[in-house]
Amino acid sequence: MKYASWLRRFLPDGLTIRVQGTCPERFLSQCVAAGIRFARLSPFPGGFTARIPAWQYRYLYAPARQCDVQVRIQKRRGPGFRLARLWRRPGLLLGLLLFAFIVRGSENLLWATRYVEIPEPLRPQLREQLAGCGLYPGAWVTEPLVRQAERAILEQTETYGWLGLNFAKGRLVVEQLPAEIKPEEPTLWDCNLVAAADALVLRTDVASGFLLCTKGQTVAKGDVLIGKNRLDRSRNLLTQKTMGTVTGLVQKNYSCTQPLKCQKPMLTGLLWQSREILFMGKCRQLPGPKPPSGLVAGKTQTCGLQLLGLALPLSIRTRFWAQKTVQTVQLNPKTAEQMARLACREKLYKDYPDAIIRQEKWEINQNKEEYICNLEVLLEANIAKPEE
Amino acid sequence: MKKHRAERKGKEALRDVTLPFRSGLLCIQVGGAAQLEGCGPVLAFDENRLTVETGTTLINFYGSELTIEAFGQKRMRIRGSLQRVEFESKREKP
Repeated sequence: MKYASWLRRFLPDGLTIRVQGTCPERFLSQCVAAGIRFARLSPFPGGFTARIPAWQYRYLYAPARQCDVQVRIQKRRGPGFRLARLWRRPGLLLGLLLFAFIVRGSENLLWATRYVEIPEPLRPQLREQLAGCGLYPGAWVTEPLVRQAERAILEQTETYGWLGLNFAKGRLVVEQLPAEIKPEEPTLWDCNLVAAADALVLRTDVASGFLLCTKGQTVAKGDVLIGKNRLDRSRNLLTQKTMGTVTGLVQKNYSCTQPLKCQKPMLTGLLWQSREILFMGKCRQLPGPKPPSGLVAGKTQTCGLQLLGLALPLSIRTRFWAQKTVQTVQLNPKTAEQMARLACREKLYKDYPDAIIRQEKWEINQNKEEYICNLEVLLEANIAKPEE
Repeated sequence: MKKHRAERKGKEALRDVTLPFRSGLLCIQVGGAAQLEGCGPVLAFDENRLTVETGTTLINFYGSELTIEAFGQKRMRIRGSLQRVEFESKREKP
């Protein structure tokens, strides 16, 4: 308490006092002689009001007793009294301390994510990938988890050439560099490369192995185009791995059937969404009505909660569902024809992904129940494939 | 000895001369404010009259709405509409 009264001398705290009694003038003179400074003295019958520094109030007791006057405090002003008022309410101070403690303790919680130089269209997908790896607002983040997520996302997508995740004081900073498209390196095979179909050789490009065909030669399916072994002049066996392409002119026929009536799982138009709260690795479903049957999981969206623009360490994951039922679909003739053509082309490009079509001839036959599509095509493609 | 007596007499005379300066200094502003230095105890204080003792003199301030702006060690600042100031010797008082 001694220190408190000594400290008060340095605070500009003031008191307005009301002095009343038989001899207030004598009291005033005694106080001034004792070194008390008065200000704004205004008289009233039988006394006066004045302002004094708060720390000098205790020196009024003795003169007041001697002069038989009554001293009353009318008003207290100054920062010291305000602090004292706060001191009497420890809950406020405790709340402040508790808040500081919580903020310090929750530094490992993910509060917000910042994307640096990541285009807006890529962000939702990246956010979902991060959430899938356990990095969402409200997650308890550790360094191994961040590094693991970095590796997992780089493996999942080829969009990013480099992905950097840095977590510090509740904020995850995501940086990336786009991937550069590299030409595919041709594979070295430890076997002969043979013709995939009967063809006329147009071009050859051998990087390794021994070429066993020439330009303009007709080859049959299964003929060796690039060989692995060869005998030299001394009849010694030379072995080399094979690599290269042989472009040939191939004639092929494809046939596809498209029924006019078919049974397929179709969307009914009913969409359903469920919400769940994510916090520190725990997930709790928000209450809602019961979902109908036959739902198929669709997109998932995870977003952090915000309060008046401030990010909170909580996430809400919304799952979207769609209802699908098996229905009998009646196709119109034009659609059926298009689907049959599409199926033929899909077969063609599955066999020869690099095919260049020189000529094509479509033949479509229709009966009551189905469409039959025949494709006769002359194409240019790599016909060298490893021997099985 | 004579010389010493003369010196002592001179010092006493000097003390008498400086006495009025020690007793106080009154400064009155046109408009009603007054400042008094070297003041002693307040003998009477109400809205219309303020009596202050300064050494051997009593000073009476008369006016209306008289207040003491500040009052510390031997220094006082008075506000209000001053009408009259009276100086009264304490020795003349019966």
